[in-house]
Amino acid sequence: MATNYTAPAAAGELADHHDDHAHPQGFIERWFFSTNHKDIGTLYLIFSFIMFIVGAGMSVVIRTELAVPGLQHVSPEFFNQMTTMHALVMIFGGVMPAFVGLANWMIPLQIGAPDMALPRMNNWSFWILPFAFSLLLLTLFLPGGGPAGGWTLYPPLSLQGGSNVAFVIFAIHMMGISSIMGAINVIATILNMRAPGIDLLKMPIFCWTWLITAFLLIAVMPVLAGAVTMLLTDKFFATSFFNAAGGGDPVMFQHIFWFFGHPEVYIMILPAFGIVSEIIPTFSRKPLFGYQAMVYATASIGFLSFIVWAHHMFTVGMPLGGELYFMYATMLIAIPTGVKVFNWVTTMWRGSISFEAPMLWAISFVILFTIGGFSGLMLAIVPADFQYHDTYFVVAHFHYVLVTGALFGIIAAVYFWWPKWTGRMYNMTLANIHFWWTMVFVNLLFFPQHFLGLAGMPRRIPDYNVVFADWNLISSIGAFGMFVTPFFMGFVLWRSLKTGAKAEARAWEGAKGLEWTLPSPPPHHTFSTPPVIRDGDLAHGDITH
Amino acid sequence: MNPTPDPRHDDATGRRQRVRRTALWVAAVAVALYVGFILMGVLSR
Repeated sequence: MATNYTAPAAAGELADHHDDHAHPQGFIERWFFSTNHKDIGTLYLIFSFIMFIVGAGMSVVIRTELAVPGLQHVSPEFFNQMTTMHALVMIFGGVMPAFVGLANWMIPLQIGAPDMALPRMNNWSFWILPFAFSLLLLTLFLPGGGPAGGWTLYPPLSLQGGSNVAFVIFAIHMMGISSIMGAINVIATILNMRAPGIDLLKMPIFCWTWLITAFLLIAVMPVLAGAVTMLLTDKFFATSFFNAAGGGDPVMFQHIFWFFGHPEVYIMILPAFGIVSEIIPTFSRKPLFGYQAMVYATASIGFLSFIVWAHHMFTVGMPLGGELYFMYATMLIAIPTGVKVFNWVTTMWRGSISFEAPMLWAISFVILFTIGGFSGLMLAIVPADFQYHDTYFVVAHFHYVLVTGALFGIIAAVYFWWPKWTGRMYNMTLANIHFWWTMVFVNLLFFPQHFLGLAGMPRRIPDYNVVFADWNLISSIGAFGMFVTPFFMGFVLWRSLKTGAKAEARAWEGAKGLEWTLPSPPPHHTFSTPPVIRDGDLAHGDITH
Repeated sequence: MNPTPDPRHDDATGRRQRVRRTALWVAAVAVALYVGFILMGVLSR
């Protein structure tokens, strides 16, 4: 084996780095005080799994109410709380922590580092999250309930919420601090901890996408924090940043929010791009087509994400020149995204493809995310957006991006790296059933929402005209079917832990990269001595592009 | 006679310093953005 890994007994070589877990630990010490990137990665993934189920439960409340016309199960106020909380929980509690968990697990293994650069801060950034989400979720039990003004927190609506406003804003600050600390850790790790021989342009694509994501996080999370701080002072300290009665400008909040919000979309999708770029070459048994083009396309998408924010708010009434600029700038994003889709397809072209579960999820990502991308282009067209704005078409669009995009990427990653993490294979038939079940119900859930939106059904409304009844019922059936899937996935993985066959170091025949040179599961401490990189170890190191 | 310095230890020390410097720079940018956006709101009144 070309690359050295260090067994636990030899882990003391760089022990001054963080020597507090080089000995057997109890449950509390290991999981509450851990500074080990693998343990913290596991904590993040478990946390996000719980949050996904909580958020999915809220979506079932929404879809149950919307299954038939009329108000039947919940009050309109509670319905609005569910739509708001569903988004906050899924975005900040589900998708983002899942990607941070994957980064924690895989970045050190992929670049040959012994751990994340700042292990204690890593622990801190995770353990902030359960408190933040307890604070957020407990607002549902306050008099007046939780936030109900939408996850975008537009004033003046969001400020009419009573006592929950302070809780929500404090929770968002905590999530932001956690994200920023996580991003600092990723940047410091990738820039300083790479093993000798792993140049930036030899790094796995997953590390590249996460590095760019981390810079996006550093650039925009403080902007969100600043915006909600100003909301807080408007609510409790009589300032008028966004209060028109006091000379403020509520539309300014929308500009600031979406200056955060649009890069946030890419924060939730770029790591999934990286995951898919790892999986497709593995199961096509070919190197990734156009590695450097993929890196530059990712960086281009990251840059463009900062200059398109106002396409979320065409209908506020902005000058025609502004509308045209934001329309064309938004359309530009299709170019680097198209490069990526082209490269994924070309990687598969004439490859020796096999369709294990991770590959199925990755291929479906490419197809369904592209549908979300196309509907995004439709929304970028200003006159069309005036029709689509605030309809179910928008809901369909961003769920294709975030569910069949980000979430499918996360599921693909779990099925891809699970044998490495646990040393156990899973039952491929069960995993394939999980995939096909999800494929049927996710499309039943979200595709009809395009038709509803084009027909004019508004979003965030608990009742609707009877003409929308049929597609809403189908969409709700899809939601009920989808709600089963995380539990089924949990069963597949639990069964793997109990009865799964032992995984080899290189669990997948076509897998390349440093992580696959380690045993499965890897020792608690890895790469305490930097690995010696040889030709063929890396997926990209010895390839001329 | 001075003991021979352990290059591995020097590597680790240098790396820790680089990590700290990177982290502080990135954190400073984040704080500056947070303060800057609020100041922009204050000064534009």
